Amino acid sequence: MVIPAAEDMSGYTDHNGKFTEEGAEKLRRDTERFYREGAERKAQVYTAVCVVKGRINERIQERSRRAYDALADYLSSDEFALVDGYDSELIAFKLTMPVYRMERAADPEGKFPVVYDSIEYIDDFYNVYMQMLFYFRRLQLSSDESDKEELCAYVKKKKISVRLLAALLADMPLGGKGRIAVRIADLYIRDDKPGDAYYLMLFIEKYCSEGDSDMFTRVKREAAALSSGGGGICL
Amino acid sequence: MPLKSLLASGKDKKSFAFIICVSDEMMYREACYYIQKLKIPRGMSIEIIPIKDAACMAAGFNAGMTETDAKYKIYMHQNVSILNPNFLEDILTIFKSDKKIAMIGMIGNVELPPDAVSWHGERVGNVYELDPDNMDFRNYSYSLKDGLYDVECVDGFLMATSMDMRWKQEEFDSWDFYDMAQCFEMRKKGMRVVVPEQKKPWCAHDEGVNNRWGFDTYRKRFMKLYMEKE
Repeated sequence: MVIPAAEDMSGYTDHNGKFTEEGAEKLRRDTERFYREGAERKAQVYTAVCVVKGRINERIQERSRRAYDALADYLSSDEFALVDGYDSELIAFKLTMPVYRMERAADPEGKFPVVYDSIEYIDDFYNVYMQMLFYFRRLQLSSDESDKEELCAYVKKKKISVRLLAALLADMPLGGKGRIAVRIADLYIRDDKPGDAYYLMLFIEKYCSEGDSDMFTRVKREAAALSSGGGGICL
Repeated sequence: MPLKSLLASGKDKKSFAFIICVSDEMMYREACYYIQKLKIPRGMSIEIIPIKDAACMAAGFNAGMTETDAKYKIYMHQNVSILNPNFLEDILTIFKSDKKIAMIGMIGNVELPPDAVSWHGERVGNVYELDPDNMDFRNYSYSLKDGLYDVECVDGFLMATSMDMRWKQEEFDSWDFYDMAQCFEMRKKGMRVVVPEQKKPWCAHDEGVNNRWGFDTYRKRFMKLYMEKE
């Protein structure tokens, strides 16, 4: 496979995509300038990232719905947007905002834990993000029972809601999302949470290929039948 | 000069060593999960050599290289998952096709761009992030007919070697350009550095945002050593 250049290089190359002598010289100069300017901004960016992480950690530590609401608002602020692309933890953490709002809307009385309840600091969420990416990819590639058990144990230990799980799966750079979702939905059904299985199917459906539709229909039917037996659509 | 600084190879032709600099246990565990699932060619064995607290990638790899006698060494980042279960047999097929092949990478540049920033030029190869739906490895194994690219350098996230050559830890005492320097050194010795055409991506590389501020220092150093005309 030929992977094209990550940036538009047409200003430096001829019509065959070869760097011209002049283009090569210009590219060297432009790259030099890019890194020189980056180095000048380095301290500023680093400080800003630390400040933003500090504000996030403070709000998590307050452990109140009021602070969590403020945190979700902060993630859509200009201050956050200015630096969120410079740090992997910030990029991943942005996902907590819609998840928290969905959790809040589904549970206005606050009976169940929300995404911020299961983390102490922003880096905890990044660990959750990466660990879930690993579990999802394992499920894409195989249906080993031990992997499924490990995932279940982790989801319970970290109190990961189906809303967070679904949002993570939708957001991550993964293939085979339909297959992964079905395998997890089967686990929810096995764990007597048909409502969660149903929710996951609905949430992930739009990310899936046509080939997944039979599996989705089967799981949704099964989950709906079990829910109507008294379980309802649970959190 | 240590003995291993000479172009040589491990004595044990029946062994593969995975050499990994480790700073994050969770990443490392996942890398090992996939290594342990690889099919091991008949009569061969594998070992995993984690290097903790390495001062730089090249120093870690030099330390790992001296710890094993395996002829075939796979130097990889801790955030790499080898997804192709036939990986070991596939790299053997490539190494055995020509004794001049000293290094195999997963992604590389046939020609490095003039500023030495690899992603400013066309690259060859594959990785999970580019083709994540194409992961059914049933009945898959690499054939030389699939293709093999001779490249100037490969991305250091995974570099398999059949020959030992000391990594340039004095010049590249950080986390950048040690990989490209090694490729250029190998080619200076007349060896081939190649990337197989991967009809399915053999590896995933879970890389975050690159905040290594020293990148440009080592880029310039690399250009001075390997790209400036006499």
